[in-house]
Amino acid sequence: MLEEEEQLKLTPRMELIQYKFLMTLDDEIVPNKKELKEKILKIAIEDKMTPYYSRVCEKFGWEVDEETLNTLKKSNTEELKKINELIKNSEENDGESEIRKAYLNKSTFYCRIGEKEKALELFNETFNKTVSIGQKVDLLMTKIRMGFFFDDISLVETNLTSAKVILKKSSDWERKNRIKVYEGYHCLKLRQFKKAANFFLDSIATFTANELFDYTKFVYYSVLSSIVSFPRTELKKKVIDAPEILTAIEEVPHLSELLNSLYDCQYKDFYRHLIAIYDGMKLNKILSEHRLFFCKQMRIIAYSQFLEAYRSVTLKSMAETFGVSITFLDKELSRFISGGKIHAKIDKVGGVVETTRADSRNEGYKEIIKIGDPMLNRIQKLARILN
Amino acid sequence: MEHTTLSSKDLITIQDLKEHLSLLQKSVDEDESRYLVRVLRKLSITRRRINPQILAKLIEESLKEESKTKSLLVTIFPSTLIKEGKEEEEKKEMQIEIEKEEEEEEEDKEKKKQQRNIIIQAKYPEEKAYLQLLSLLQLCKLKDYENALKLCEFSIDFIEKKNRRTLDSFFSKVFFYYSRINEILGHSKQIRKKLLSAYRTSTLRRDVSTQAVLINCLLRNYLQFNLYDQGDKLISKSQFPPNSLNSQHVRYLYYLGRIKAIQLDYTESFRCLREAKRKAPRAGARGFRLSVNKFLCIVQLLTGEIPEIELFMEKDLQKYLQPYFELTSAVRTGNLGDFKKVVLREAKVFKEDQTYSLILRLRQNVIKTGLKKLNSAYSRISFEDISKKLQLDSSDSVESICSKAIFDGVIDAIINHEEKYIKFKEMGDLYSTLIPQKAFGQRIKFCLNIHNTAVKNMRFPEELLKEQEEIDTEEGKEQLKELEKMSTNNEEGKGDFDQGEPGNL
Repeated sequence: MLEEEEQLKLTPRMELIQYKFLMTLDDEIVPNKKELKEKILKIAIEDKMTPYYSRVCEKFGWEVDEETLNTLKKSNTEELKKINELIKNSEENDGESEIRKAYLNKSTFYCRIGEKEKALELFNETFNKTVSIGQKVDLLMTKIRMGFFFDDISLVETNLTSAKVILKKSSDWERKNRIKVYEGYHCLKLRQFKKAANFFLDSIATFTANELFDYTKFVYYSVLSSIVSFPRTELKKKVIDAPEILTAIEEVPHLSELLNSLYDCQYKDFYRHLIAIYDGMKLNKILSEHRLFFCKQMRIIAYSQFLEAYRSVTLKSMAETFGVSITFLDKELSRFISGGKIHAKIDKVGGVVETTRADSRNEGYKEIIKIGDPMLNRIQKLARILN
Repeated sequence: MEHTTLSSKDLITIQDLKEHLSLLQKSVDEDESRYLVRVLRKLSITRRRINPQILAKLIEESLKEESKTKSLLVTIFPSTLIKEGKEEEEKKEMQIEIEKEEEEEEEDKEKKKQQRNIIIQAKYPEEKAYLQLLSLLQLCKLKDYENALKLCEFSIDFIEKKNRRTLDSFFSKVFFYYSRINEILGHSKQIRKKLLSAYRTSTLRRDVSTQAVLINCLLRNYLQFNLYDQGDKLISKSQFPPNSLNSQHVRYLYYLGRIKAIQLDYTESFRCLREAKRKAPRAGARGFRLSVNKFLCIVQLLTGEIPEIELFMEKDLQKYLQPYFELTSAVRTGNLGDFKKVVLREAKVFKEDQTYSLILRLRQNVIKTGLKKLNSAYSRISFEDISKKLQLDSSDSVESICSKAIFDGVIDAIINHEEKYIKFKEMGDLYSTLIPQKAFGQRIKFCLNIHNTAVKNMRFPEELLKEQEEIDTEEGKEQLKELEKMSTNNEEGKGDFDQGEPGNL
């Protein structure tokens, strides 16, 4: 049993996602494309992933080696024959659990070679034959991993909800924590940094989802999502001082420096490390789409943090603290202030930035009017019925 | 037009068309317009199914030899189009092996041969008009505009002379095509007089559908030549019939919106265009919806609001609305440089859509938005910096632009002329003024009003109850009276006999 569980965990091969993504980037960012290609092909051939092999060759315009393709197809058909025989045997001779094992075998096979539709079908069949909650959840988690592998967001979402529903009734904490990691990863994909941060930090003490990514990556994701969503106090408590994070944070370049320079208000260093992290984000599949947003949020946090201490500060000294030019700073500040993200006003004639304390009463009043008026319009439309 | 045999589908269509003709006859005989309406409603489907062969067959069989309609239509769709394929059919029968399906097919063919022999003679002008209309549609499909024009003019004369109200819907359709064909052939200017006189006649005759169609044709004509004044005069002097078809109403709103936009009445224009969009069909009519969306976007920008992103997100229109989307982004960010770039790049598209002149007016809006953004970000800023930020050409004009903006109420500021900067007024503490009190008071009053009206309207059942009570009491009174009567009767009766059953009370 355990052996199968382990096997199930290893499919599909998640490293392939990262390699494939790197291949799609520009040559100058990713210089070692040849190595990547070899790695991908090696794994594909090792696991006899015929459909994946042909798909990947088509996508990147590599030549399909007929020989390899034929050998792969042959081995696939042989294995499939063996598996089908096993299923027949167990259906005739053995009991429920043997039948289930045989089906699980077949579904794992399809999942491994990268055949999405058949794999999903067979997983559903196996699911119907499975009794224990833990095994059911394992199957759902494999389906979620397939969703990550094939970029199928709806697949991920449906299976996440079903898995959570099943786990509510059980007290299997290990699986519950693993599902949290999956959920966090999914939120990260959808740019919901705060939710992702909460999920990751909840499960950081008991991280066991090694099949998705290793511990270092996990710390990388947790820190990045929390640095952009938590205020200073929480950041300090949960991230900067957290022992679990401290163990692995050194392995990611620039990450701990980013964190600490923000907390210690060393803004010049902060910017330097931010740029480095930004470059790093380009190479990560789910983070690369959000890197501009991330950078913008970090800048807003830095500027607001800086301006909190001052009533007014000259543009010159602010520019020096951040290590940027005055024109750049002016452009940034005007953009964020008119977007309502920073509460300040620039006096360009005097070269000063004056902060305006957000008056919550006035803000609240404006909010009420802004939100209330459309609602009153809708009530008015309903009121027409009365006459 | 090739000579081909009629396929079985064609035969079915012919059968349907003959049914239509009989419906039209029924409509005139029984003086019920709904059959006519039904036939015309199916026109768009019928239009797709007809071809020259069907028409030739129909014309030959349905019209009398001496009718003028027939003589004209026969020149266009001669009966030689149809081969008499009887011999060929016999050959086929011998070749076919006896299989079930083909047996059935033969049975069908037999039936149709029989049915074909049912000839319906077109005796009413409605049917002739219908045949004329079908031929017209077919000619337009084949892009044979010369013949179509001839047929149109014949049809117009024909229908006008008859002056029957049942022919109104045909009349309107013919006029629509008349106007459209002339537009394609480039003769729009010449037909204006005719359209106007036809409009006058149709108003006199209370021909609602033709009125609507003619107003729309005239407006379209004027807009083609940018005669917005004349269009406006037409609108003010005429009254668009309120009980016209929805499709005509939508067109009218669209033209109205466009004219109002040119005349600087942006709010009214926006309202018309929005209504036109709402009433237009959801799917289909893609060209119309596209044009309405484009104008909606521009007019909304001219009123000072930013259109919602859903406007650009309709799946089949998304590609074509891309230039407008970029334009909106440039206006939203107040970026004059981007705005100029987009206008230059997409000038051809805008000119084709006839939105170019409206877009040039947007330049002011871009500057206004830009100033508003500066207002929120800066407390004081020099003119030079403003000209750099807004990418205006000279810093001298900046001062005048700013003063105009302050005068228009776009921004709240003071210009310091000697030191060449502008100082924006602070928003200040609203709560220290009476403004919040007034605003809240207004809204609370409004809500209470609605509450009171709602409560009043819910009292209705109580009144019913009251009425019920009244009725009950009245009945009770009557019953008492009768009781008294009976008792007096009893006394007068003087006897111990039973006065019938007590239930008689």
